[in-house]
This record gives sequence, structure tokens and C-alpha cells, in this order.
Amino acid sequence: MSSGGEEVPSEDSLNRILLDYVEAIERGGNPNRSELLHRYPEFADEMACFFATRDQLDRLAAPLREGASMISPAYDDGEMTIPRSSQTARFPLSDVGRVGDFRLLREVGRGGMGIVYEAEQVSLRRRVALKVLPFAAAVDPRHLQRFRNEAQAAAQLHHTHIVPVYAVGAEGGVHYYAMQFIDGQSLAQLLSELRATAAQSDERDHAIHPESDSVRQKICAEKLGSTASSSMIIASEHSSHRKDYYRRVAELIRQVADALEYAHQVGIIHRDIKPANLLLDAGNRLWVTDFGLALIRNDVGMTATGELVGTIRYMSPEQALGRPGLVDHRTDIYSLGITLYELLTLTPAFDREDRHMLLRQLAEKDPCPPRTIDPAIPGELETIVLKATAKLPSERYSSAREFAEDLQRFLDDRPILARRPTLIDKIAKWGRRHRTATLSAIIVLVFASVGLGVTATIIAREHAKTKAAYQREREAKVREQERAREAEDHYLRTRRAVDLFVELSDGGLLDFPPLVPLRQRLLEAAVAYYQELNDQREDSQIRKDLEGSQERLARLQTELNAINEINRTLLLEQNIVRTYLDLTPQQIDQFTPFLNQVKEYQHIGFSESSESKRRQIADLAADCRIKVEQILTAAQDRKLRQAYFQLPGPHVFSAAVVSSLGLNESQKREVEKIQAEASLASLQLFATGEPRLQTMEEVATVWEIADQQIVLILTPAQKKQWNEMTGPPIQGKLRFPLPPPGNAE
Amino acid sequence: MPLKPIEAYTDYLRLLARLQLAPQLRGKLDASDVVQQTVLQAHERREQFQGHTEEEWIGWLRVILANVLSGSLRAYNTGAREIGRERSLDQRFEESASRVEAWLIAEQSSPSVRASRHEELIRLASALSLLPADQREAVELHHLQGKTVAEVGELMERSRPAAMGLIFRGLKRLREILNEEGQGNV
Repeated sequence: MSSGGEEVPSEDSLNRILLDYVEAIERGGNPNRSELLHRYPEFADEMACFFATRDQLDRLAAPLREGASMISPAYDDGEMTIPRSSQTARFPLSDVGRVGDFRLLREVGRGGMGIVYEAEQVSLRRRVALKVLPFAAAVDPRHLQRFRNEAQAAAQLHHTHIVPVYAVGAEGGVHYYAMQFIDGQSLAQLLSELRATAAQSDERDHAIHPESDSVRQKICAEKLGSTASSSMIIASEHSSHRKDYYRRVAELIRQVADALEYAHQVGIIHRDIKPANLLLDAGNRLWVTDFGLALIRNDVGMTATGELVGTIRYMSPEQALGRPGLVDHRTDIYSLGITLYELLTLTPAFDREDRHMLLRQLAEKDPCPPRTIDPAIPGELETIVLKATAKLPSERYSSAREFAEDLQRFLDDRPILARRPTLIDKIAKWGRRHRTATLSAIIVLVFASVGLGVTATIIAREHAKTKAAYQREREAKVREQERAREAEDHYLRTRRAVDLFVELSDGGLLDFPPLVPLRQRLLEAAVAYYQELNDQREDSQIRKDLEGSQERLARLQTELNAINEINRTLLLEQNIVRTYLDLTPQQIDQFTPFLNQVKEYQHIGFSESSESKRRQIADLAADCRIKVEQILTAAQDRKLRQAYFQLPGPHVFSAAVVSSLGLNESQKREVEKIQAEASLASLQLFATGEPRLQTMEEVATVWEIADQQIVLILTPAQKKQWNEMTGPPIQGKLRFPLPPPGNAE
Repeated sequence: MPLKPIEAYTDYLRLLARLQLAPQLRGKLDASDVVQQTVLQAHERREQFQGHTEEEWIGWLRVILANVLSGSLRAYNTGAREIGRERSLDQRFEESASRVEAWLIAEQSSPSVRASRHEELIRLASALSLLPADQREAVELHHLQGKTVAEVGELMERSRPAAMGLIFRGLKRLREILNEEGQGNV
């Protein structure tokens, strides 16, 4: 390792002296040179030469070193971060430099799009923010021209919430963008402070932390030192007056939406709306900055990983997936909606760190509704966020003005115009996303519903035969073995089908209301299967599967009952049902507010099947039952049940109904077959078209026919019982209870 | 004043390239190759240069260098990832590339300050190129990249006193070279 052997002894000791000296400096000391020269006169000349060269080299190398030490922690998700005092010290005032007419005063932030300096425009003696662009494109004049065009256009924007651009230019190879200096901070910084404060108060809730208060004081002290007083007010609102905080946020976002509307009117799209580009000044005014820069970044191909990801987080799906033809002003509406989401919840809507995963998340997943993160968020704001951040541009606000107006309505306590996505919208979305999965599932489903029963019978028969053969015809050993093999074959095939089934019914695939009865049917079939197999075989795995699916079935049965209860109650909305039941005007008045509340259940969201959702549905169903029993007479209650049987759908001939009618085995098989076909048809309707209200009607027709077919196979006695269950036919067309279509088409 | 040919700056560009490459990457990516490519590109795009002063000329060359450097760092990185190279090295490439981009920004932010030193730096670069390789590396790491003597030792696999010796002899030789050029007082 050591090359000590090369060195002559005297040089060796000189090296040690120099090493002591240099390392003392590296530790922050200031060793006395002349003392050293006196102490070691034999090395005086060499040391003097060393010191001199060293000093000159250090002076020369200073700019190089600065460049080399630029791996800056400020590359934080591409957001501009204001350097703390220690960082600023690296750029003492006199050393920052000058660009053309601008004297740079200090660095105030940096990010993928360059470094921002606070600067003075010398000729006009005004303070400006000077953004120096990372122009790799300095070598390509086309990029340069494009930048100039964009920036010039942006410089024409004059709006109270858009940071004015004073000048765009190039000076000695440096491309810059001079803007009004906004004394304040970005919403990205506000967000990170709010998160820090929230985390601290969480900590304090759990344990007394001696440090946290001093940390807090330090943050406050730093803030007092800066001009960010408005952010302090906001932070304190967030911790103590949550309601005021939400209003404040809505007001800030409204200002941005106003600014965007103005820019869109003159044909300029921002393309990079995110918290880091929204500045809050000391007077609580919001400023949109960096107009016209996003396009350049794409041109230049800035690929710093973290920076791009930080930006993608707020990009609309059409923009992030690089479909420039589809990107219009609604991309800004989306990004602003995502920003609003983050300000309300303090949680990024999309949080994957990895770029590919993030893109997938953006394209495929809806973020958790804000109120599932913080139930205190006003419902109207949640609705506004969901509308603004719809994946399809056509489902968003069609203009920034509409967005701003809805926020204003919220602020004025007037009803907002945005509607939550209706059930139909959700089904449409479901169909779009599961198109391939759905189609393959259908095949399995139909095989399962129809085929399973048949196979089960075959197995049972084969087994009986095998046994008989074994007992009676010992000599026919070869045939017996063949049969055994066949039976084993059937068994394996059936098991695979059943297992697939259980898997399907468990995955979220079938977890939306119109398919719940179908799912139940599948599970019932599975349970029946495991039961049969269990009776025939000694297999611990089967027993476990059986228990598992019985559990699932019980849970699903409860859920299904609850959904039926709710849907039945919702029938009371329809006038023909009210007439059918002879409801009095008082009864109707009593019901109306309750029904409105019930309709909310359709917003609980069925894509995330969670325990809390199940509980919510169960509670709601219980409320329905209580209300119905309170308000309706026993006779009316019976009529309501009859009406529900007249509504076409898989719920009509449910397992319970089938067994109470006393259908025999072959009738049951027939019912299963008819229902499986109807399920297939309705799944196809959902999966292949662009589902709309029309689709729901077609589905209703499918089930109307299916139910009629089932009625045809009933015996006269069963038919009579059935007629009693359904009662006299309702005059008019019953509709499946759906939330009002709102402004969805 | 007529501008010097691009080739007059190769030592300087090579020095800059070396400084921007993490020491661990030097074996993987050769500063000379990067500079060669830079010179080539500069020739190809010669007519795009619109400045007049030497400062602008050097600034332009530096920007091309930074582009080539960050480009090859990233290209090398993606290309090599499939082979299953160790992660720490990936990280180094990423760091180096980010650093080059940051440098590019800094480079353009206050060139006027640095302009006065270009000439000295160019002379320094050619002097450095005449040093024995180990002395040059030690001096660059310590003085130009701000590594401590201990770090220099570690990177070069020498003891601390040995690293100090390399630096000392490097500085001594550097002074001699610069004086021999008869251009006085670096």
C-alpha cells in the first residue's frame, strides 16, 4: 500500500510536517506558518514554496471547486428550494456576479429549470428575480428561438396573479428571464412546512418530546427572520382552525384559476402548474410563475431523474404519457386540481418514487378521495377536486373560469355546480379499465355457473360407479383403474375451475353493485363444490378452502342483503312506487331528506372493497330498515317488497327466493343457466360499449327477459306463490335506483 | 483578437472533464474520449457560435463539453445497467451527471467573474498535463476537488504521508513548469 520506500528520509519527515499542517487546516484550524518555518529551518525553502503554490492554486481553483461541489441537495423533486443561511454563505454578495444589466445579489432557489437570483436591474434600480436557464440548448439555435418565442408570449401576460416578466434575453452565453421579485415563498415550501408541523403535533400527541418545541421555535424564528409571515398564519390555521384553512386554500387556488383563465384566453398554456410554481407573497396574494418555460424543458431534454419525477407528479395523464396532440388548456386544470388535492390533504395524490410506477399510477389509478384521508375536508371541495382531476379531459371543468367560479361558489356558501361521478360514470370507468380482464372473466364465469353443476354431478356419479365396480367386479381391475383415473382427472379440472372462481369473486373485479348478486352466485357454487368434494375426499386443503369460501359467502350475503335493503328503500323516490304504495304527502315529506342521504351511499365507492366500506353500507341498510318501519304501514312495507321483485335484475331469483319457492334440482340448474346467460349479456354490455344510461336500460331488458324465462319453468303451485310475492303489476316503468345524472351526459 | 483554434483548449477541457468525473468512474469513462468528442462537435457546430470574445468562445466550448459529458455519463449508465453492474456505480454515474448539469447551470450563471481567470486556468491545465500521472491526480483531488489528504490517500490507495508526498512533489513540479514557461508568477 504505502509507497514510503520511495521517499528519502528527509522528504519523509517533511511530508509528516506538511501533513500535520494540512490536516490541522482541514480540521478548521489556523496553524501559524512562520512558526513552522522557524521550527524547521532545514525545510524552510521548500515549505515557503509549498505555501505559495498552494495559495495560488487555491485561488485559481476556487471557481472550479465551486462547480465541483454543486451536487446540491436542492435537487429535491425539482422544486425550488430556498437555501438556508449556510448555503447562502457560499455565495457572498460580492462574489455572485453580474449578468448584463443585472447585479446578482443572492441565490434564492434552484431547480431543474435553473437558478433564481435576487438581483438588481442596475439601469432601472429595481429589484428583480433573475432566472438563469440551464441551457444545454445554447448550442442549438432552434431551441433558442423557441424559448424566445414562448418567453416573449409569456411576457405579454398582464394579470394580478401572474408574475410579470420584465425581460428575456441572453448575455455572454447566459440565457435569463427577469421577473418581478416576489417576496415570499412557494406553495411547495409551505406544504413541506405544514407537513413538518403536522408531523410534530402528531409526535406531541403521542409523547412529550423535549426537542420538538425547540425545533418549532427554531422554525418560527427562521420564519420571523424571513418575510413569510402569511405562511405562518396559514400554518397556524391548519393546526387550530381547520375550517379557515380549507377556505384559505380554496381562495388561493381560485386566484390561480383566475390567472389561468386569463392566460388560456390569450392562448397560453402553462403546462407546469405545481406547488413550486405558485408563490405566496406577504400579503397573501398568490402569483403564478414560470409561464412559457415548460415547453423548453421538454425541448432541452432535462432528464435529471428526480426533477422529472417531481414534475410528473402534477402532470395530467395525457401530458405525462406524451400525447402532445391531446394536451390543451385542460392539462392546467388537472394540475391545479392535483395541487389543490395536496394542499387539502397534505399528501401527494400520486406518491410512487419510481418513474414507471408513477406513470402507471397516473394513468390507471384514482387517488384516494380527499375525505378518506381527512374527513374534515368539506364535501364540496372534494367534489371540486375530483372533477378537476378526472383522467379524461372531457370530464374535467371545461375552462379555468368554471373551476374558479365553483371555488367562489364554495367560498360564498352557494351550491357548487360540479357533480360527483354517478354510478353510471363509475361503471363506465370500470368497463374501460377492465375491458380485457372482463372478457376473459366472462368466459370463466359462464363455464363456472353453467358447467360446474354438471361436472359435480359427473364426479359424484363416477365415484359411485367406481365404488360399485370395486366392490362387485374385482376382476375388472383394469377398467376400474381407468375410471379412477378419469375421476381424478375430473376432480382436478373441477378444482381448478372452482379455485379460479373463488379468486375471481375475491379480487375487486366483480366488486361493483350490479355484479354483486353474480358474485354471490359464484361463491355459492364454490361452497357447494367444496362441500361435495369434502364429503368424498379426505383432503385438509379442501376443508380449509371450504371454510374460507363459506366465510366469504357469509360476508357477501350480508353485504348483498344490505345493498338490497338500500335499493329497495330508494324505490320510494319513484312516483309510480309512491302511487303503488298510496304514500301520503306527509310520508313523502318524512322520507325525502332521508332518501337524499341514502343516495350518498353510491358514492362510498365500490372499487376499494374495505372493511370500513362494508360497515358503512351495513349501517345505512339498518337505518333504511328503521326508517321504513317507522314511516310505512305494514301493508305498505309488503307492497314495497313486491315492487322490488318487479324490478328486473339478478336479485329477483336469489338463492333465498329459489329455496322458498321450493324449486327442484333440475329447475335450479335451469335458473342458474338462465342467470348465467343474462350475466354474460350484461357483462358484455358493460365491457364492450361506452356505458351510458342507455346501457343500464339494456341491462334491465336483459334481466326482464331472464326473469320471465324463469317464471315459465315454475310449476303452477310455485307460480301462484310467486304471484303473491310480486303482487299486482305496477303501472309504469320501474327504474334501477341511480343517483341523478347531474351534469354527466 | 482572432480566436485560438479549438485544439488549443484540449488540456483545459480535459482538466474540466476530469474534475467532473467522480474518481471512481475514471477507469470507466475516459476524459480524453469525452474531450475528443467535444472537439469534434465543436467543429461541426462551429458556425453556430455567434460570440466574439475569447470568454464567449471558451464558454461555448464548456457548454458543449458539459453536454457531451452528461450525455455520455447517462448513455454509459443506461447501456451498462443491463449487464447488472453494481448499484453503487450506477449511483456514481447519476451523481456525476447531476453534478455536470449543476455545473452547467453555474457555469452560465456568472461567467463574467470567471472570465478573468480563464487564461490562468488554461495555463494551469497545460502545466498539469505535464505532471506524472500520480502527482497530477493527487494535486487535482486535493486542490481542485477539495478532497482531504486522507480522502486522497483512500482514493489512490496510499498512506496519508505518501499522499501528502505526492501532493508536495506535484506542487513543486507544477511551479517549476510554470516558471520554465517564463510566464512568471503562478
